[in-house]
Amino acid sequence: MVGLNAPLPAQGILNPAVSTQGGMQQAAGLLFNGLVEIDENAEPVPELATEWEILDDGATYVFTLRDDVVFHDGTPLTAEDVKWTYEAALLRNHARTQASIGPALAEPCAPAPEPPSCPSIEAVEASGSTPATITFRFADAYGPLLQQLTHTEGAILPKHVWDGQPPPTAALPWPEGQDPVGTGPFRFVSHDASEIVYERNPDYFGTPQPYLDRVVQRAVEPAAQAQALAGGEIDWLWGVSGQDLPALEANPDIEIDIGSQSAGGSTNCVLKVVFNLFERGADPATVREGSAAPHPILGDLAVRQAIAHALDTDVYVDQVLQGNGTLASSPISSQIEFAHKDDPIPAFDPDEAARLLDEAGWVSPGEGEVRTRDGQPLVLEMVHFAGNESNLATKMSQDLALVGVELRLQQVDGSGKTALYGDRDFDTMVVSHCQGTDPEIGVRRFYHTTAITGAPFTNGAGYSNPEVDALFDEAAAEVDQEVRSDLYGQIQDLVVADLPYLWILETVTVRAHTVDCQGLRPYTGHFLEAAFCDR
Amino acid sequence: MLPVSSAVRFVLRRLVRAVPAVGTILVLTFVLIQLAPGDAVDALAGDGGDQATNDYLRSYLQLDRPIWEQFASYVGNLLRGDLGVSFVQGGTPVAELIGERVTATLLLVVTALVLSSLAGVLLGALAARWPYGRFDAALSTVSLVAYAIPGFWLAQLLVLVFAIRTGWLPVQGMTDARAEYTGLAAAADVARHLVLPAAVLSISELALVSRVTRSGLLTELSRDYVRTARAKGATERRSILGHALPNAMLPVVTIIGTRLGLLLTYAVVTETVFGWPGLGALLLSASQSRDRPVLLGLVLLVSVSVVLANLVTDLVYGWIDPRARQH
Repeated sequence: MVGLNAPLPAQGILNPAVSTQGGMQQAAGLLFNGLVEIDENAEPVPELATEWEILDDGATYVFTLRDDVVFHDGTPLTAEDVKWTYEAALLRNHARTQASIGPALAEPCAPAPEPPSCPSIEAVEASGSTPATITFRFADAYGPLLQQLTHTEGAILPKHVWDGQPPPTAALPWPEGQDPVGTGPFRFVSHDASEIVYERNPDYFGTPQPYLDRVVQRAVEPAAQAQALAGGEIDWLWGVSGQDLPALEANPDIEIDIGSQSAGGSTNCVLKVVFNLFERGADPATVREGSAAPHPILGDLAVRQAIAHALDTDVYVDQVLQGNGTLASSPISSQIEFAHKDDPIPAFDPDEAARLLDEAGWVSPGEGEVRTRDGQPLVLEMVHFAGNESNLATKMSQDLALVGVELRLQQVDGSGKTALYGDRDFDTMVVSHCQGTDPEIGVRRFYHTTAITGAPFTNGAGYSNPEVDALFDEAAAEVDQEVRSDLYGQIQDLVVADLPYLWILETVTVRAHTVDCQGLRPYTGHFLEAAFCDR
Repeated sequence: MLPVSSAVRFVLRRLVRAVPAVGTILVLTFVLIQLAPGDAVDALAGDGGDQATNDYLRSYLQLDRPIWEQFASYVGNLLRGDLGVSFVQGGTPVAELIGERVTATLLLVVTALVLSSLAGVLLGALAARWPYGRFDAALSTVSLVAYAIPGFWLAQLLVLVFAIRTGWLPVQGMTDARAEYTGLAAAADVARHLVLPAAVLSISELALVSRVTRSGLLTELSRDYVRTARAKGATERRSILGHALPNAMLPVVTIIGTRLGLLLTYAVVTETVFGWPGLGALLLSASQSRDRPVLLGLVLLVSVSVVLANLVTDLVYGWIDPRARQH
């Protein structure tokens, strides 16, 4: 069995508790477990925790740990391992977990480089017939916790490996010379420049699973991936690009799965355009306080609405995503069903776009020319990645040219985008906004005033609306799902009126595997836990 | 043959002269990485990192120190033979990262170099044997196309024909991921995987070498010493191989030697297309993640190899052509 992803994560970084890089999330499901897993209906199911109790109207969670879990090096799992993993690794280094669970705890954890300590997380070891428990105490009721404890969001590490060593960071995820050790269905065997090899964990608590004896992960260039699958050299492909899909669909030896989880393990991704509402390069703190100068062009709501009206989005699914996806109809992904409310961006209407721009003072000097106001041309820069993002940016620049708006495209790589986002040094930017399974995980950080931090993929628009903030806070503290649904509905109505972002396309991920291998779980839990190959 | 002492002096002089060149390349690379937006911490942080953690990482990697201090510390370590550790690969030493990949790249580049040199000289000699004949005309056309063809496109084409359609050769990688071969079977497995990437990498080189060999030979064949050899009754083969070819080899040797650097560059593309686990993929990921120590290590390796290749070329040149030793 050969899994595959590109690029291959280095051995030293196989620690999903301190880094959220793409390739690592795929390894995470093989090597690690979280307290709670999510099933295909997005419902929490037991994993390292057998059961849980919710006390104090949702402000306290008590998890009972399994008593039969051993790490790959033979050491039994203890409650102290779980507590230490949260205070030393997850709540300091895991981008999503530290941003969501961290601030909600009753008492703050000690920041790096102080010794790890989280007074609001308590570990009680097993004694006699009483199993071990782990308790999380929050300042207020905290609704989404059960969605945030999976192996991608909360992989549990063996504390003893770091005895006498500084706790792990993204720069040094394992002590020097230490192989990755987890509790997951597969054990780490070896790593070289071309592949990572795993073997079956015979002591797995989910026995008789896993069924596969050996798993090899290999990096293959995107251009060669579909060919390698068709040639039978690999069994499983994490992402198939639109242009390769027809050939693979026609191949009787290949089966296709389409779902909403991206290659990085993130779910429910929406391609969005971020409008920088403030002048380029403004300090995030001044933006948060509202004292930065507005963006000379995008600070005007009418211009943002005009841009939306100019987009002929009907053809975007075909021309941007090669047919793999849907038009986004709301700031919250349609896959988060309870919270989603139909709130699309203003519809395609170039005449209305022209009217709004005229009214805003941006007048056209002539047919097909760039509009100007007080001698300043209506030129905006758009930062984007290659691939789908580049397709979208190109299509948008064509549509906008027809109403006299010039979009200058700037393609960047990951580090480049992160830096520009953090420095707020852009006009508009295409981002893939992956929202997870609950708006508290992925949506809040794009809209809440406190999320204007300059950290990558937080509130990059600089959007601040006290009403929206209050509704998010209320929804986070609410346990009743129907009440939450109503609160998120109100948020979406407010956001579509303010239009700090354009939600344009919901992307799907296409996976493919050979018919020889079955039992793969493409979108939930540990994707190879129950897989088997027949040859 | 050159006297040993003067040969050693020649080599030393050349190496000393290479130091400022390599130093300039290092400074330029250092500055270029600095100019690219973002740093290694941006690559490490992933989606939505915490500012305090990012600050901590920056100070841990010493990226918060003035740039000249960072450079001085790098050069200091380098002079002690320490290439440093990777910023983003969990602190793995650069020497280890390069070490576990350099063999694969060398295997590919040396195979391509040997293949293109031998076949190129042979084809060029055949063309010069019957100039303006049918073979010569065919070779001219083919080598022109081969020289101009983009490697990544040719690679895709070869994969389609020889891997997908016929199934004769593998699509990617250096080994079969399913099998665990040892001994001769393992060598055969690597050889099978080597065929397509080596062919792609050598094809433009081969075209060039055959063209230069042909024109060099044609020039030499019209010279008096060849006419003398023929007059003495030497066979045509002996006149070409024994007399004209050694002299015609001078420009060929220069080409082969000086193009090693280019070949290493092309290898990055070829390795990427074929998933060959060499330095190419490392170079690509290191630039995307602003992994400065790894990038500098690779740049250093390539520039030193080019200096050495040029040196070897000059030594071989001197060995083939006694006249060159006087200069």
